[in-house]
Amino acid sequence: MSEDLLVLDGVSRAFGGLMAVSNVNLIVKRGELVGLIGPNGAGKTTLLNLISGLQRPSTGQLRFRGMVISGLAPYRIARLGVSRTFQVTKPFKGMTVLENVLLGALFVRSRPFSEAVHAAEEVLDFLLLADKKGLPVASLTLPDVKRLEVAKALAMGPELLLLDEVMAGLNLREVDDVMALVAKVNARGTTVLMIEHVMRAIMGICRRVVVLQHGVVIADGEPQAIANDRKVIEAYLGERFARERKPAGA
Amino acid sequence: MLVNGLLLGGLYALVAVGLSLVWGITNIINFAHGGMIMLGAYVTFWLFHLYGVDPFLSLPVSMVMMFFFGLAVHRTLLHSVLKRADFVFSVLLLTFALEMFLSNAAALAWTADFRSVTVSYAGTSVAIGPVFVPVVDLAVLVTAIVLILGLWLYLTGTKTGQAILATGLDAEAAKMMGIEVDRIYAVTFAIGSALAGAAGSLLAILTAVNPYFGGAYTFRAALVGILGGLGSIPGVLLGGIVVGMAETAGSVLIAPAYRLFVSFVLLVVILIVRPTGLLGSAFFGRMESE
Amino acid sequence: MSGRITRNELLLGLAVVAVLALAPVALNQYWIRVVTKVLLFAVLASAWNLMAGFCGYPSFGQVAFFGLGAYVTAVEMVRFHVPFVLSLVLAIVLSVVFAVLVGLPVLRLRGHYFAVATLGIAEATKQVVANLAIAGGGEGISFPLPPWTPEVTTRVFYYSMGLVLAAMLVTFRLAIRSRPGYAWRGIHANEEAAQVLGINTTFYKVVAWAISAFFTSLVGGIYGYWIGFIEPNSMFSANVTVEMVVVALLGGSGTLLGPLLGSAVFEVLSEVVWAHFLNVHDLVLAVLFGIIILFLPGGLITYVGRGGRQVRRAVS
Repeated sequence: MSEDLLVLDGVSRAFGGLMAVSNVNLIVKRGELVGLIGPNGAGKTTLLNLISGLQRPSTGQLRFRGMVISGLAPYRIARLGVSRTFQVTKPFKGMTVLENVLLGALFVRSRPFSEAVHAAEEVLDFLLLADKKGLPVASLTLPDVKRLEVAKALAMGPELLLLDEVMAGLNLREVDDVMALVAKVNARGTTVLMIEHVMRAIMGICRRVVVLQHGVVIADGEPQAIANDRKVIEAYLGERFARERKPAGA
Repeated sequence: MLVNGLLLGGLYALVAVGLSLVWGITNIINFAHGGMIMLGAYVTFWLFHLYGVDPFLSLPVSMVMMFFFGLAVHRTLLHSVLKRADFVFSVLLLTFALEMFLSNAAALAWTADFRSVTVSYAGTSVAIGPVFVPVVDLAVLVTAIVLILGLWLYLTGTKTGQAILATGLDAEAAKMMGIEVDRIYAVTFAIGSALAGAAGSLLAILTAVNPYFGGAYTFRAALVGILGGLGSIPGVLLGGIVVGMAETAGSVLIAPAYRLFVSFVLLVVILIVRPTGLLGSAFFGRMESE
Repeated sequence: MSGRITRNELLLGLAVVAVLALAPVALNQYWIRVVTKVLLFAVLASAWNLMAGFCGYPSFGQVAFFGLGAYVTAVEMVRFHVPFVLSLVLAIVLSVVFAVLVGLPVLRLRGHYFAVATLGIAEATKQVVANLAIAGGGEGISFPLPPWTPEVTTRVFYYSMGLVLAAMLVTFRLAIRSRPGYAWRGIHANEEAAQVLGINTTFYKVVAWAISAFFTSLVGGIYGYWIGFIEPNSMFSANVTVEMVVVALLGGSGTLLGPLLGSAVFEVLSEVVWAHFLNVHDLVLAVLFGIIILFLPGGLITYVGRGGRQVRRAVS
């Protein structure tokens, strides 16, 4: 029986009158690779913000490794073992690729500077970015920037990795690469929770999928079951329906 | 004391409304706001001193002059800087430099002496309830309120005004609706300058002015704007009254010299407790993330 | 990559130190004073640079610590007859404590809001000091005369400033290439991203702020003693703020040696050209400021060697 790594207990987050996230109960066990999907505006990124501490829940509690993390400063949560990427990538401009990743390795625990540098270089090797380590981030291509985001997060040696649409904007080949990468990371023991719109990736590597709509969890189970779930289809049906509908007479 | 606070409040609201508008809509803090106030004050002073023009009548003149001045400043200095990634920083410094330039140029041209405008009816007071209020103070307050109301009507009533509000809410969406955002930014800045000029003209009636007196007002304007919520007109009025009251109370209860200190404490408190202001919806006020 | 000072840097540093240390032999009193001023503004600009250039928090309130350093030192020496060095130490302690107290709330703000709040710090401090009778109120206060001859006095202040600058540059150099430096640059590049990487941004910001206040108040105290008479308008003047910012930007913000370069160029130019036209000085300063922002955003150091080219690329 695997440990409950991340627990969301009746978590809600309101913005003004709007409930971005509403009474979410979610448990992620250690070692899982969970996909988080849902139409735009469903509250997925808000959920990641709540977990990583950038926002506080209006109600409810979040627990990580048994400890209450709701209300903690982001840096504390990071040091407990949670790391994340951002949908809109945030590479540190003015620094090299290596320095970017170094930041991930340098602050999560106190260790000698040189050791952090080694750790950063290892992560770059793992992500096949080693040859670019001395380059300024401004010169990277989009897929490389995405890899860098992941590298920064991995350099922290997290127990839980939160990925926010890490495949957005990538072509088929690049998506395959990232899929393999995420699977490899999970295989090495890191629990992964990933937000994605690219269904191929979700279906391909996730063993469990959670569906969010209007801030509420409407489905939670194996990918195949989710794909056939009536509520899920309806949640997306609106968009598919609109796409399939042609102007009358066309 | 209550009346004084209110009078001061109304005036501070006018001082602030130009800055708040520009800041809320275009995300520019015009550190030269004080300088523009000063210029407006001097326009009024010179018209009064050289041609005997009643200060209230010189108001339109200073407003028009400062409108075009603001337009010129925006087109020449700010325009190129706004394209940069770190424009917030650059504009801050640039307007700071402009403020320095204006006050020192004024000192050079007109000396650093204090100037006042004393109208013939300055001494008369009118009774309002139990208190005697100088006619001049009352006239200033009324004018200030009229101007602020006028701005509000303009923003909500005219096409350009509504375009300004739309741009402030979402510049991208405004662009897609066909609004020339660049032009709107320039016009907004010009209006802010005109209002600064008006505030300066009115200030000239109430206090003595010199080339350096604007700086404290820039700070107060920012405080009032933040307090009430950037870009919000009712907020500016409310903010003005709060600051006016607070300063008056501070000067009466502690010492006149500590007014600015009181304002500063107020600013820090507000920025921590409620940065979006009492009434404002944060246009650019993403305080937790950037 | 780590913080240890390289051999080249050591040699360069020693060369500069040697030149500066021996300079008073060759220069006359007037020029020693000019270079002292260069060193003063190099420190002020570097301290400002730490907050603005490295952390991305441009403060317009540093002059509050400058003035406090001078004023507290003065009050101790004049009213309580405390010797200079001890006064200075106490003044710095007080200034840093004040800075941290004021900084904790203010550093939670970003961009514009932070700038406005720091402006308020300067203005409010000025107003309070100007109204304290113990500090001489609006009339100002005079330091007791230094116990040395004029020639020795000039040199004493010259070397004091030099020592402070050296200490500061060494401190910065060590900090920048180790944890604090990376934290600061992370904060500057993207504070939110820095937070989720485990960086305690509040802590590092306060550290930078305290260091900045430390050196600013230190030179403030020395400067006050040097000129002998201080009053609120000059010690808390916005002109000081502008000058330190101009110098930092002119040399190149976000770099270690930029402020020194900027100070050297600016102060010498200032003395030679504008001291003769006193009343236009501030005006020209303002114009120069504007020109620098418009046309020289990376500062002069971008035209100096390889490091310069990197900075230029980063800025554009």
